[in-house]
Amino acid sequence: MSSTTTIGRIICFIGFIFLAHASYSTYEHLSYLKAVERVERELPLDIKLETLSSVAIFSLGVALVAGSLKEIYVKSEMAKKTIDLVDTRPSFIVFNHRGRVLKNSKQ
Amino acid sequence: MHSYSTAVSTLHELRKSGERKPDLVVSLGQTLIDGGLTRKLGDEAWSVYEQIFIAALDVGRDDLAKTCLERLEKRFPDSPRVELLLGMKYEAEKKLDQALSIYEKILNEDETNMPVEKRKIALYKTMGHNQEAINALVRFLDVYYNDVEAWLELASLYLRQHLYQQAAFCLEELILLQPQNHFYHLKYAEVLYTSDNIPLALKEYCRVIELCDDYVRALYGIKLCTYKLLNASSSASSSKITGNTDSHTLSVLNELATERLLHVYSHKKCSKVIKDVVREWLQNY
Amino acid sequence: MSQPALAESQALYLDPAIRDWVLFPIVLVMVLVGILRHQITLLLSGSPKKPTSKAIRETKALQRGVILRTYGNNIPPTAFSSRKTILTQAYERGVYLKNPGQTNAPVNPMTDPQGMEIMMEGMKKNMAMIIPQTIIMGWINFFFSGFVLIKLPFPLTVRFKTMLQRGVETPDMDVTWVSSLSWYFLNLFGLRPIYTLLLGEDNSADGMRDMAAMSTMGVTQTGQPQDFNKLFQTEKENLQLTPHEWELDRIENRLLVKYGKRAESIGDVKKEDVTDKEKESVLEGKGKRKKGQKRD
Repeated sequence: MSSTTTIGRIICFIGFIFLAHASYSTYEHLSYLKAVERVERELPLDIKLETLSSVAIFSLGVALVAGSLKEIYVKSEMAKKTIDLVDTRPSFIVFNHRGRVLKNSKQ
Repeated sequence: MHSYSTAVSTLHELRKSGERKPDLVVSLGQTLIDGGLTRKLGDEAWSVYEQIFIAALDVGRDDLAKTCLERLEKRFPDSPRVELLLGMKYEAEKKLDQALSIYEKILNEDETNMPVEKRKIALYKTMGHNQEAINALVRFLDVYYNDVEAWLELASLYLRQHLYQQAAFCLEELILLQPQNHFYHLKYAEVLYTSDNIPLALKEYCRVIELCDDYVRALYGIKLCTYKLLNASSSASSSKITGNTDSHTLSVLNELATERLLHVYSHKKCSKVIKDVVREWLQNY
Repeated sequence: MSQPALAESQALYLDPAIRDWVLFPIVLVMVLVGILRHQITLLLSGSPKKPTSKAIRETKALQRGVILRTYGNNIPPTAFSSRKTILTQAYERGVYLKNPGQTNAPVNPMTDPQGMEIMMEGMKKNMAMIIPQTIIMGWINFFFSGFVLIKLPFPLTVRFKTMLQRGVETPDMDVTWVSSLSWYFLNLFGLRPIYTLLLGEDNSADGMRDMAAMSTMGVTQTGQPQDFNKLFQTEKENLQLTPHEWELDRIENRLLVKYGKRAESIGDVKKEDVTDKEKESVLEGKGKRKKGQKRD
């Protein structure tokens, strides 16, 4: 596992903690409101900010974990391939070639 | 030596792509086996054993092959897949009749076992029974129509026997199955050129360039085709299939191919000698 | 305007014991029962049946026609027309059929052994689905009726009141306060992603699929024995109607245009039907020449 994926996973974890904390704060806030018998239409600003920032952190983490991006066009992916790669037929290989003798005699 | 995890990922990549690099696989595999393969990789270890087994057969390391096969047989005692590997081992050791009997036994139990049917065809190839191999492969493709590997194999079998028409048929099927793959168009163009169907070959070479910019082999093909067509003695044959390729277009194509080839060879880090050779060749055509 | 006032006045306080002893247990029970169902269906159905090679050939033969139709423009006209004739003849004569010579009557599932097996499988699966659902519904109705459980976050119309507030018939209460039966329904529809997470794709644990199956089962009695003969005939007709517009017809020109050696002109339009001479003059007249190219 490369370093970017581990960093990405840590960032995702942090984002998740933020989200969990925000949701718990919401629950606490609502029960506080119920206890005090006040009805407010909106959530307090800090909870909103925390939720949004958790989304941003999550996106960053996911982008890092996802790995290198490929191009959209099939063309550019195909241009990187070689004939050896495309014309290989692994199910049909035969073993009556001189490689068996040559490689052994080298040792 | 390679680190353990890079070895595992390299082997994984090779398994995905299907490339035949037995030296690399054997050396990486030896490292992994020495470092304890089964306990470290868990479920993935068995595919790696299979891969190392086949590569070991390819380079003649029969001892390594034997070890891998034993471990696989211990883990999967009655599996047709492992029996297939045993058949491959017999093939490599030139015990061809035993291999054939194994494959036929598996096919009797389960007639839809694709890999074993393919191995049987490869066995016919090894035995030198090309016609039987072709017949079996044709029957196989009648059932499994969209198997790209099998169509490629049939094309190559036909080409060995210089049956260009039939090979062209196989390549047309491949083009139908994967139209955007420029390699099939390239092979088709070369088969057409060899069987002297120059106008169609020219079109296919152009198609390769359309699908993959500046593909050098196709540029050479265009040069040769246009040269041949421009110097053809009778103009009637050249306008048979293509009604719209006038000689002006051909000469412009020729110039274009020259220009692109020079462009490609000037940008690459190639030596002066090569550049001179290319330039001289281009002048003659 | 009365709506917000109603909501304010109906800030009901629910006993947290309700949450602990009703909400979570129902979810837990449903998840576990779903997993149990999945395992039982696996046990009952055994290993998946493999099709014979003739059956595979049938399906792939149909694909051949489709592929030829869709991508036929990439191969030369001669190749296309020869394949077209061969395939249409093969479809007509029914070369690819699994059981050639079969009449067009729909296969009686009682006599066809494969159809019989498919029906048995379907019935077993249905039984495995229906029984747990009915049991759980009865259990919930017995134990958890007579009180409201949750407040839905989205508004609903009054019509839902009778269904969702089954045990608590009050005329004034908000429709958003619902009973435990509706929580059961919510779970039924909503637990599918959790099953996918736990059991992987294509699990037999959710109730949606059998509901869909039940609705379609009544219409068509047999699923698998599709009439391949009819499919082949339709495919044959489709093939006969397919024209061939060769992709490579004007490719030399296209290539020159791509590399800027020639400007695009009317002659590049595929459906042009002009003679050679006219084509030449069209190309000469409309196309602009770059430096170094002479007019013929």
